[in-house]
Amino acid sequence: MSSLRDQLLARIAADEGALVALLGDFVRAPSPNPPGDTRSATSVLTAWIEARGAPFRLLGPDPAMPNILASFEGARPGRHLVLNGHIDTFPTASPDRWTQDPLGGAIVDGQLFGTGASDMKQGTASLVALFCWLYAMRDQLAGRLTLTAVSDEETFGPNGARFLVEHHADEVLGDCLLNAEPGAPTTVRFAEKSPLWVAIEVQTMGCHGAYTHKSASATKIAAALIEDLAELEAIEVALPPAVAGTIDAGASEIDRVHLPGAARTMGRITLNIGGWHGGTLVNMLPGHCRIEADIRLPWGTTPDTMLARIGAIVARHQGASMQVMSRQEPRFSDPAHPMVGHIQRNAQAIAGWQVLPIPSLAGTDARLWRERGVPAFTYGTTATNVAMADEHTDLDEWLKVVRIHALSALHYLTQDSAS
Amino acid sequence: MSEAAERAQLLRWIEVETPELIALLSRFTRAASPNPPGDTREATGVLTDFLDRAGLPYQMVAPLPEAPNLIAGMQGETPGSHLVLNGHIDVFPCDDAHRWKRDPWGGQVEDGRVWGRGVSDMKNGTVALLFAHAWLARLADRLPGRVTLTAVSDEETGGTWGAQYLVDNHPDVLGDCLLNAEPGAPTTIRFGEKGLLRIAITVQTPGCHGAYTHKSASATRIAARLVRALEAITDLPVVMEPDVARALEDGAAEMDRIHLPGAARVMRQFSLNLGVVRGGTKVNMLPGTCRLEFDIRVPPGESTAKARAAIDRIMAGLPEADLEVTGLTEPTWSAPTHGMVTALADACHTACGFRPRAIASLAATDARKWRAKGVPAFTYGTTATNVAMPDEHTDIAEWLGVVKTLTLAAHSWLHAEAAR
Repeated sequence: MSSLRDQLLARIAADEGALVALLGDFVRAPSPNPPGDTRSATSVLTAWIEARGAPFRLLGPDPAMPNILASFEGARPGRHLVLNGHIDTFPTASPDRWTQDPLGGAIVDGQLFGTGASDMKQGTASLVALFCWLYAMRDQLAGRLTLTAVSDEETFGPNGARFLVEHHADEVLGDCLLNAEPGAPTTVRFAEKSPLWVAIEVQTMGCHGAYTHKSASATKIAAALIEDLAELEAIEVALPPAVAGTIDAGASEIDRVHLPGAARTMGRITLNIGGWHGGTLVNMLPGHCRIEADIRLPWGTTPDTMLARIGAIVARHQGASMQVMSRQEPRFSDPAHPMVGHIQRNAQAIAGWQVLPIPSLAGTDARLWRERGVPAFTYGTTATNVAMADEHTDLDEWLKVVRIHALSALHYLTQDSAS
Repeated sequence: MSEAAERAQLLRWIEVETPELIALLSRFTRAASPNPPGDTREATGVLTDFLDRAGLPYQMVAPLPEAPNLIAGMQGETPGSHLVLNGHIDVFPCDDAHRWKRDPWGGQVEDGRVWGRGVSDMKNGTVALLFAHAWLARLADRLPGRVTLTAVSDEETGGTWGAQYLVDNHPDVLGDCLLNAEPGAPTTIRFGEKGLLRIAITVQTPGCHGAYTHKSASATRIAARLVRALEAITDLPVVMEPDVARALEDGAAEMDRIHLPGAARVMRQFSLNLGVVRGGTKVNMLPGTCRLEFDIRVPPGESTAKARAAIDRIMAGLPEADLEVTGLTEPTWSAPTHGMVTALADACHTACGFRPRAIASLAATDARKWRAKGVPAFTYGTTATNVAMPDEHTDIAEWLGVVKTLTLAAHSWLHAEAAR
């Protein structure tokens, strides 16, 4: 066993320079979603896989949004581990506030900068590399390893992981999912709050802006609605004990990693008004306005309950109607699963980090596996300036996480299948 | 000829020349003059052709060559006051021709109406003033005082190169009183206009991923709170001169009738329109920027400064919000008891059998530019029918009443001034 570990660490050490170059190339190949054309970024990854002789396929309903699916069998039967990352990124946030080129992939003081450098090109690159290293060692492994690198995560769209779990379930579900979204390398995430996305349209007659008595204003009704929606944040949710326990145990780490307030936010309903758009000209009274709300639900409540509350608020406002853009049930995996143990032990050994299982505030594609009964875990680097100016990744931390990913996968495919 | 005989003569001319009036309005409407882009030369040519045929002098003032302004002067026989007539040649653009039942640039005369873009706002008013000017010129050897007709080519986009240019560079057009013929309703004489304060407020926060609501204040939610708080502007106490307050009280029912119930209340308050909101990029990003554009209308008697001070007080606790003023016009008003108001009301009574009310206007006209120079200014015109909408039109019978009212009022005001 220790020889397999040493072999893998030696491969990683030999590839380190190339791996940093891969991440730079990957960041320089833009893949903002929307609009979601990820072809050039995908080809950076497939070139790496091809160069290492591993088989792969490109799948998906939208040719501009290819998904990489690659898989191999070990030498003997065992468990099926699935790796998941995404190729698409947020659109560049606040382009005028960056100090580095968002598409430059520049390395400054050991940090690699760019849109998607943290979320999650670094994580996807780590999984692609680990897949290739273990492919080279496949005759010494048990079970099966599958890589999924998808192109439609940022909008929770239908063309990425959802397409794979719905149309290629036999190949991609497996026995356990390891996802590499950033967060903090001192935490492994076994659960996610569930996003509930709601669009609210307000329609009124509209008129000239001087005649404010002639028509109700769609923009003002929307402002009142936004204020009223705040009542969702006051709802108290009773968390399941397993989840509540990890939040209590991890509270100071959650607050350290995600800034003070995060542990409290974890167990509560949050409201983000992600979009508020209305009107055409300043001197016209708007007859139309649209709000998009991103509501995150903790474990212990359901989208149905929440939609009933939102519906009642919307019904209080003239001309307002609601439509659900996306909904999910909040779910969690077992915080005592063996994969959590592998990550904890390897993080301790490689970096001296004590890793705690905690739920996640943000959503990842891991939820699609959890929804289908597959234990799913997310482990990655510190999320640094995600969806903000100067998004970046610390390369020193990343290279440790790369090793922890690789060793944990190795151990899952060897130790667990032996037991 | 007595003043009454002159009045009878004017009414006879109007009667006899009604076909020419209608034909000219139709022709003027066919000469498209949408602004933007604002090339009004063909439409201006319709007016100058008429003046040429009538043998009346005029000059062109064209700071923009494609948007000439017309000034025509007429001197009475004896000294007196100087009346200035004002209309505009440019019209709103028409980008929805497919929704019209008729050609927007066809100038059709059908069903007792003239149809087309700009016929109501305000080609009918400009033609009315053009004819009034010509008829008064025929009586020049009997009239006291002086008449100047101004027809400008830049009204729809703010007036920098139209009325504003004339009042700033040709003091001759100021005169002692301004009569403007923008549409509104023939039952009202507009002696004032609300002012305007346009502001853009940008709320800026760091922004972050939408799940981490504890990490950054939300630009959209601060903006929503601000919108709610700014509504207090509509409750600011409004101070008006007693004459103005009385006129607006007397005209309240008529304002509500022509502009729908609530108009009289809005006239006498600061109104707040949130015309544009732009916040956020994507549902799951917590927005770091939200921009609000407000159009605030200031009642006659008040000032934009009062609105501005109230806004500053409301925004004092919001360091994330930045304000920029994008437009500012003070409210203007003339005395609702001015002689021109009496002249218009009497003329309308003579011509149409009813007395219009003196009210203020919610929307803006070029009359404010004369008021800003200290010249009393009044607006009287037809009903605004489908202005800036498909199937804009003018009812010919109503318009003829307005033509008569404007002509007789101008005539009687010149005499009344001379007699003072």
